[in-house]
Amino acid sequence: MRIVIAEDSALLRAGIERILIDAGHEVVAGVPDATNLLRLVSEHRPDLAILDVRMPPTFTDEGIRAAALLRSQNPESPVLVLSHYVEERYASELIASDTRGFGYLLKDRVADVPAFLDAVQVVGAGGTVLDPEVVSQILVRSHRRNTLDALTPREHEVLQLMAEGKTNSAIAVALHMSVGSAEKHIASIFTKLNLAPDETENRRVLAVLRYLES
Amino acid sequence: MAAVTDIDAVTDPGPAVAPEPADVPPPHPRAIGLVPSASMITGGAVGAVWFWIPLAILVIGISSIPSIIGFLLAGVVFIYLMRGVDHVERVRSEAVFGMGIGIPPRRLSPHTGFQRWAHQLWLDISSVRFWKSVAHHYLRLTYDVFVTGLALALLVFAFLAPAAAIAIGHSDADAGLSFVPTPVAWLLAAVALAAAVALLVFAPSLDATIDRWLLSPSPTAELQFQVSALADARQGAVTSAQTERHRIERDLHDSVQPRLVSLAMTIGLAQTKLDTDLPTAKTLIAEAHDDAKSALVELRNVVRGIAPTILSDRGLDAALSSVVQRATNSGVPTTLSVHLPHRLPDEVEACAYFVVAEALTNITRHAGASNAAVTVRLDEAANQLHVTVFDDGRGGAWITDDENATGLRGLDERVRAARGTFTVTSPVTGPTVISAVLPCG
Repeated sequence: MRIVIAEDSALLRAGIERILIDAGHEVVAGVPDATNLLRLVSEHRPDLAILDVRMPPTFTDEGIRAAALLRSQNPESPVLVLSHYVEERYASELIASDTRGFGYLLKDRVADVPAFLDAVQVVGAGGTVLDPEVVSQILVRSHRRNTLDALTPREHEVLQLMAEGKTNSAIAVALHMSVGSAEKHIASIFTKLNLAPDETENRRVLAVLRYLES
Repeated sequence: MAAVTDIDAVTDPGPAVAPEPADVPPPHPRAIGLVPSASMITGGAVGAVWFWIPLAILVIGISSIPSIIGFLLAGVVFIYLMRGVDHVERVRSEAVFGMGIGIPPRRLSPHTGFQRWAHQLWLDISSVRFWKSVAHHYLRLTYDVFVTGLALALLVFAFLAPAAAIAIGHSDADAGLSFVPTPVAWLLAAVALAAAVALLVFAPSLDATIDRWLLSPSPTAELQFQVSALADARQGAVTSAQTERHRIERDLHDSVQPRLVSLAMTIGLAQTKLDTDLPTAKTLIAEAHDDAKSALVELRNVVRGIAPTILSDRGLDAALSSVVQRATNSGVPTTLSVHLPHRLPDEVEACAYFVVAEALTNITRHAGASNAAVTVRLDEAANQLHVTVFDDGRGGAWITDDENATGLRGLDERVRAARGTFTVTSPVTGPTVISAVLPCG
């Protein structure tokens, strides 16, 4: 996979590059801020852009704004946002219309190398990966809980794992159940969230969106 | 330590606490009329009796100085009487003249229990407001008694003069009685009657002037009050900054530092085992990996409590999600409900954020709670932010000076620095409700 990295800490940038190159990816560009990112992306057409949130010049939400711009200009270009802190509000903003090819993870997750590389694969292939912390932040918002009240606790867990970008079989493994019963839970979630089977959109994506925006 | 200032006077936006600027004398729409006259006559009648009572108590108190108890007792009774009088006078003045006179700020004692009671008495009698109120009461009563008495005398004269003139005119000339001729007596009676009526009609406007002069807050008192409020807020800011530095230092020392030491030790140990005992070395490296990740989590938690960037770029609502989620992750399921139609001033958002973060940290550490709830609501009418943190834990939390006990003292200081009010309700059986009201303007 051809990857562009924007990260202001040289140490971390080098570390991430090393992990990615080790896993057989190609890092086509590594930059310390977001100013040249758009040009780099249109120039290199990478399979994935990895961005830090806090970067020069203001060290606030440069990465989020750059990611939003990137996604609006190149909707097909996957973006993985890394941050020392995750915020559900940033995630909701970036995901508002489309969850495809988007990832938002705590930087800590890079330390779990295999899981991080999995996330890179999922996002690069157009999937969604949200940090579990983002999902549980959304859950504490009481008004958002209400709309999902119809779901059983088990279905909540399944939906949470869907939001984290897990496949049916990965959900089954994580919750110690058969793939068949995982599928049953997912079907029940679709029914309860009024996602009809003839939806042309990806129902999985819609379920996650409903989950995030409800 | 500076006394806590009168909360109502600071936060209540009603007209009663927004004193009229001294250079714009308010109109006195009802200074002349039936009500002011009735009020003055009542004042005169009541004053003739009441005038002496508090004065007598004061005199008794002063004359019994050799007996400390007698003096103190009389003093306390006098202060209580005058507090009541102050209130009654203000209500009367407002009802009669409706001039919207502001209530001068009153300093409130920050202590509790008996100390508070005694300190409050001292604060009252050492305040200009109290003595101005006493002076007002006596000046007004004296004036009312005098004017009413004079009017009464004139009326009596108006009735008696013609009668006397007629009676004397019909009496025996030998009796040696003499008075003005009857027509002159009638004239005098008419003049006296007119004077009495004029007095009763127009004299109350001086009452209104006395009220405005002595009941309204003086510019000096206003400034003094503001100075003491600011000194109080400043003290809170200084202390809370100090407390916070200590907290950060302690948190880093207690949580992150030991993890890093352990990490370095484990890696050192693994290094010695690499050549001789590869399986053990692998286990040690796995342990070190876990230590490093825990250190990251703890460092994030420490820094989280200080000033997250999302607070400045997306506001309080967005910033609270992660704080509340952290409490949930620490084993106390917490719900968050926010009503904020718009962004608030930075310092208000920072203070509210700090209150929630610190209260939740306390709850996860000390309360033994199974549930908690955070409510943040903007009262748009009063322009105040209400922050409430509820937990169903063991209760018994209160603000103490013991730095290690809880962070409630720090919260109190921080909220006072933002000119807000902070309350803790925590019976020993639980639940605990911590609430902060912050002015937003």
